[in-house]
Amino acid sequence: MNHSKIFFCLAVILLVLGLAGCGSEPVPTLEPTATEYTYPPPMNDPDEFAASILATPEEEVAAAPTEAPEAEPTEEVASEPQVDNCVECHTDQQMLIDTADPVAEVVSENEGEG
Amino acid sequence: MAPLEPWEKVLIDGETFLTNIHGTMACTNCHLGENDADKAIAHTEMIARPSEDPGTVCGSCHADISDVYPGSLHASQAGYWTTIDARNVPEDHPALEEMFGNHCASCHTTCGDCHVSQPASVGGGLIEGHVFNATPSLTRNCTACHGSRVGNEYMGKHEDIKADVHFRQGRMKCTDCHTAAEMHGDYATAGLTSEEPVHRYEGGQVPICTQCHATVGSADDAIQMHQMHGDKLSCQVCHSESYSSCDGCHVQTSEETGNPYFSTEGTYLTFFIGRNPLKSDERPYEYVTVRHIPVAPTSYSFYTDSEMANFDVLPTWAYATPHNIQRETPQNASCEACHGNADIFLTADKVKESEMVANQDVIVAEIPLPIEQLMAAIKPLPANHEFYASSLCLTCHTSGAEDTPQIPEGHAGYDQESCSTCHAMP
Repeated sequence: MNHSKIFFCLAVILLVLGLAGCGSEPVPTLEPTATEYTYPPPMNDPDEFAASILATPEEEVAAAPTEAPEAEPTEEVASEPQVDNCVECHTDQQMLIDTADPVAEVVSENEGEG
Repeated sequence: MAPLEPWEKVLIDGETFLTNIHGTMACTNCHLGENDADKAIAHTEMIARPSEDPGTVCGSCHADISDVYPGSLHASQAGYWTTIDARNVPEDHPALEEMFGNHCASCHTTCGDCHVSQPASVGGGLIEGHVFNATPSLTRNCTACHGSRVGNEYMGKHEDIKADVHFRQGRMKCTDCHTAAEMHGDYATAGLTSEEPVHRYEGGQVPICTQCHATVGSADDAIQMHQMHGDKLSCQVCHSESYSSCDGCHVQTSEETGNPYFSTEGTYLTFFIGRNPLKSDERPYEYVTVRHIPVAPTSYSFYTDSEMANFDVLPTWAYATPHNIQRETPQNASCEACHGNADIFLTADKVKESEMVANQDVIVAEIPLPIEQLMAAIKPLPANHEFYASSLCLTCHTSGAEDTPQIPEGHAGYDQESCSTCHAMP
């Protein structure tokens, strides 16, 4: 076997190995990127909806991005949910009865049809 | 309308109202006050009826309405002052302003009085737990104020008198005829010729019956009486029944309590046809229904210490549009029901002596002739007219051509097409 044949054989072997090496690499494919969105749950229940607009959850307030990140959350926001006292009272029949001011009975002195 | 308990007046329907668009706003946005658990603090500087200032509250979203509403008769009460000022002298105006504040101003109507709560003048109280109703309730809003006349007539609350056919058979609400534009004071959109009417009958008929009954009086109208009486009679003359009249309302404050009160001398049912005191292009009728309004020369004497100086400038038997419309009524049952029947006309003998001058333009001096006399008085067409078409009558009988008799003034309501209805061809 002469040198040229030896080189030829080596070149073929190297080529085969090289192709084999390339073939083992995974072919990159475009997989859809899953983005995790968090949708608010549907609110068919009026009470739930009402509660959502009356009280702001603590976590939501704390996680909300702010333009001035250094600002400390106030105690009011961070501590307790904001309660609409007006609605709390005016949707509670018994509370309205209990807290009603005494009403002086006014006897109409009108006579005849107005 | 049954009075509401105090708690009932302010109870919010948490399920319905809070899902309403208005329920998503903070209460303090409109009512001010404080969001505090302590009632006294919460109610500090609270405004119970925020739509008293419609421009600031309601107008932030409904500016198209709040801009015009102050000019509406419901808000301005201009109709009250039109008659008060007409019957009195300027010197009495300060005293009359006090009277107005005590007895009349409570009828001023806010947005909320129609769309949120019962009117304040009848004690207020939320309707449907603070839900905002685009269409006011017939009984809890409209007739809560307009009850003793319109409400009772429309819903048939007078014994032996049926409810208005539009209610009885059509179940129509007030708002089916009285549009939002009219109620909000957008009078141009509503179709009035006056953008700022000073009383409810100024500027055209809104609503007008022919909005729905479009063929009445037209060539397509198969009802002969509509053709014959055309513009001479208001619709109510033939299609309403007895309605309320009132006498002698007096206003004053109580010696015991200091509260203002009124007393009326009497309320009774009437049906009278009078001459039209508001004749205009829009209300061209010769005859209209009239009702006695409860004014008297001494109605305000408690405040002015005098009788009304100009009491006689306006009639006490006023143009009326009773709300008890029927297709068939006693007066449209036959020709004789009106013709020759003095009972249903406002003749002088039915008017108080002290009100004779005030009603001189309304009193019917001569009732329409009995039908036999009327027909006998009608001249038949001469024999040589048989070749003329009925549409040619006015050609000679308004120009005086060939000495033809001219059309009498009393014929103003008839059109050319109707001549041969009475003046029969030979």
